[in-house]
Amino acid sequence: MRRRTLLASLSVAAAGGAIGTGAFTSVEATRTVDVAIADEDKALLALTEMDPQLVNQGTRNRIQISIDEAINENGGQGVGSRSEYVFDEVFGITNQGTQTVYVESEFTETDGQSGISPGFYVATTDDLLLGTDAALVVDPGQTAAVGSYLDVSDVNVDYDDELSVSREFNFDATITAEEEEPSDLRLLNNEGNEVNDGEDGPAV
Amino acid sequence: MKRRTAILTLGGLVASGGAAMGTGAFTSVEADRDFAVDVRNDDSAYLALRPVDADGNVVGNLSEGDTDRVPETPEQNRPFSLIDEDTGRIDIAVTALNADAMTVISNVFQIDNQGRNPIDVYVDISYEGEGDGNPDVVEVSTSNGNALDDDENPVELGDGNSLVVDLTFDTSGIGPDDAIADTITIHGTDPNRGESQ
Repeated sequence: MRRRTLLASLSVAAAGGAIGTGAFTSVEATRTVDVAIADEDKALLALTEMDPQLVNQGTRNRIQISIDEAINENGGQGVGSRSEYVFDEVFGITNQGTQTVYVESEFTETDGQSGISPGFYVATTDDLLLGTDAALVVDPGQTAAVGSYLDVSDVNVDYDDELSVSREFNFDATITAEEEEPSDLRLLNNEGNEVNDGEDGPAV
Repeated sequence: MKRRTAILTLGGLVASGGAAMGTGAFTSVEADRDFAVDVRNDDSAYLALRPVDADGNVVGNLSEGDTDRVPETPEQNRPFSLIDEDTGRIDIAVTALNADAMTVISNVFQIDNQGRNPIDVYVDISYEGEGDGNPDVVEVSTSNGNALDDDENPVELGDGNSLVVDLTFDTSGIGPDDAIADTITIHGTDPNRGESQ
């Protein structure tokens, strides 16, 4: 997607160039390009683990969120059916670019089951989900703590005295940061407080 | 056409590389990350709900034939609480109350905090069915006598700890044809929420 965006903006520039210099059928030019992928915590949009029990780090420190196992010796191994769970401060989003960005998220179920609605929220504002109700405003250099919300509906799990039975759900969580302010969402700063619409940067 | 595309792509990469190095500005970033969740039975979830015997001890699951917890009336032929083997959820049933009476049922089920932080717990009883119910008939308390249905005064439950729930029913003015309640909601919130940083 990132690459697609870049392509689109480029073609505009190239078209302008072509008009200015006259028509040509084809030209080929080779330039040096330096494109690199940074580790997760060093990228322009840095995603960093805050809760080591729920976040694993994969290749290049890419974060993976797993709410699916024992998180201590107390025996809980997952969320219950027909319940809502919230987990504060799961991971951090840091804006290491130079302009304010608006962060949203969406989830795509990757294994085809249904019955769970996940969401991300900032600080403890779990009644306003990012991308659905609100966008998170992050100024350059700022970090926001993002939590995970789970709405579990009537998911049936067979009960077995002997075995630990579970139903597994997997999602792709897409986190988007854009410089353009969304018009249809409430704006929250990194403390979860609402920001006045139309202002530059978050109000305190 | 193919070649033109290639050129445009090239230019784009140069432009963006320059922008990123020079100013750190970016128009948009989209990142996909894995998010995995397991849903568990009520007895192995972080907030667990378990059937108990008449003394308040956890007994594994109960089933319809467990006579030690069956009041054996035509209207109540199953334990007060059991985990449904198909849904994995605890079902609570008290179906043979007297009209115009005060009934106390001790040791109905257990709430276990199997998470990793203390929680403040309270319980809501409600009626979601058709017409009017009478959820106020039901009072919820812990087996050592603390009210458990007051959201202003929840009961703290440390991680790894559990409490057993008693139910009290005051059916004054309520008859056999009146609906009472069909939903119990257990709330648990970390009393230190938001203070960790």
